[in-house]
Amino acid sequence: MTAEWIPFLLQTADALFPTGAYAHSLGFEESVRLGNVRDEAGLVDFLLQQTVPALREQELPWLRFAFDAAVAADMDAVCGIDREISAWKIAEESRNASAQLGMRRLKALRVIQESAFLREFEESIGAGRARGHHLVVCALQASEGQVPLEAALGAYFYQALAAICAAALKLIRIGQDGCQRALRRAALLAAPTLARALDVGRPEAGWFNPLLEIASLRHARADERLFIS
Amino acid sequence: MRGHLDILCAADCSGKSILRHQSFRAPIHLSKPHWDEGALVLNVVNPTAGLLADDRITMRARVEPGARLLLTSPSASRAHRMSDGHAEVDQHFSVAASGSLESWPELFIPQAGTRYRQRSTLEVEPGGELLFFESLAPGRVAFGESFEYALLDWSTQLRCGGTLIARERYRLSPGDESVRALRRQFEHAYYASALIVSPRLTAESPCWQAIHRMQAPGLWVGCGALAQAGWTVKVLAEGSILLRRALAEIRAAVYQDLGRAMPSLRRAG
Repeated sequence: MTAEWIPFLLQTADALFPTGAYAHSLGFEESVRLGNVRDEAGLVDFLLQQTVPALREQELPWLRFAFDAAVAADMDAVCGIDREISAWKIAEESRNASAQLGMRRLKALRVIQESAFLREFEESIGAGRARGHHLVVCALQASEGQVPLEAALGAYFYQALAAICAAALKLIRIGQDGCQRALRRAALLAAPTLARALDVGRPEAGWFNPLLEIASLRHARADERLFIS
Repeated sequence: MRGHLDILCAADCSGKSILRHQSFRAPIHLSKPHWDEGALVLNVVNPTAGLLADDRITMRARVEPGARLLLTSPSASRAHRMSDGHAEVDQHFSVAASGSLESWPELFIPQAGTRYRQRSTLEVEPGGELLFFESLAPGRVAFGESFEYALLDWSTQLRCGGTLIARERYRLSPGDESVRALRRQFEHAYYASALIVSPRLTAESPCWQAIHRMQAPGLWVGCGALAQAGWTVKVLAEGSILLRRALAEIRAAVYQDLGRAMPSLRRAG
């Protein structure tokens, strides 16, 4: 028997699901402008040295903390995690992009699935108790859709890599094949990345990437840009 | 060694900033405080060669309403090679409404084989002001030593009016992807950051655009608003001179928009 969560996960992870992710590069555009990424090798390097470790040590653990809070139906804890994400997303544009993606995903989720907990979270955002960060909404989505934690982490991991590769197609000299090669190289790290993400505790969850932070800070003041973030 | 610094800066009846309480113990030593441009300037000195294994230092500074304190140091601080154990600095700074604290330690140089842990807890009450600068060298570059420390374990939390507005947490080791990515761009990456909270600054303050425009070959600079209140500035430079110049410019630009003269980091004369 096919697990019921699989079609739900596929639908919500698909590019057709209206989150507006295509409009964001999350700092990658400015990294390209700063000369940090120029070609396929640079893209692979960016994914392996910057995106994957940040997912492993910071983003995925915080998705896990939010998932645990959502499974426990603890809205205070969910909102507390959301506010803490606001604090560690140091660059304003990344922070706003995360909230924008989260809100759009939340609205799209509520179109396909009625849920008191999702409604309560949306009300909490309206009341200023949370921003509605994408990580948190993805955690709530997994909890509501009965998606196992590891599958939810894996989907987020893949989507984060794919988003950078999609932006790369527009920003650097790379073709579809090069993008797929780069994506595959990074995606091969899924198992150790998820294993570590399941182990990182809340006090130590974090990552040092001033290159990307500065890129994101500078993108907010860039004279011309293709992506919102 | 187990050292500490515990100070309370308050305004006296004439409005002058004074140390109402001070306590310190080696390896921390305080120079004689002096006033400059309305701020009490306090040099925190470590007269030893630097931090060694199992050194533990606790620093607490509180600035009361109406007082202004500049906490700085006369020279770079170092953490030495540690065969086992680690050195640890735990600092807790708090600023009351209408109080002002600037923390400007000189460059931190983690030497080969060192293990260093730092915890910074910063609290600003509404209407208070904090300028918190930090700078980090990759090592003793002049000795051919770059990113050879064993571990830097860093944690910073900034609260404004009780709300967490910045949280940074990282562990750096030479083999990490963090360091590899940095070295790909800057072989000897010098890093600095500032966390700034002030009721005198707004998103329209000219200093932010001025800081943004400081970007130059070998120098990456970014700045932006934190969650709910305050600002951050991040700097990467390919050398210490570039970093020091950039930080001095950033400080001057911020002070210009604070609308008051900038106290000197060193006693003149």
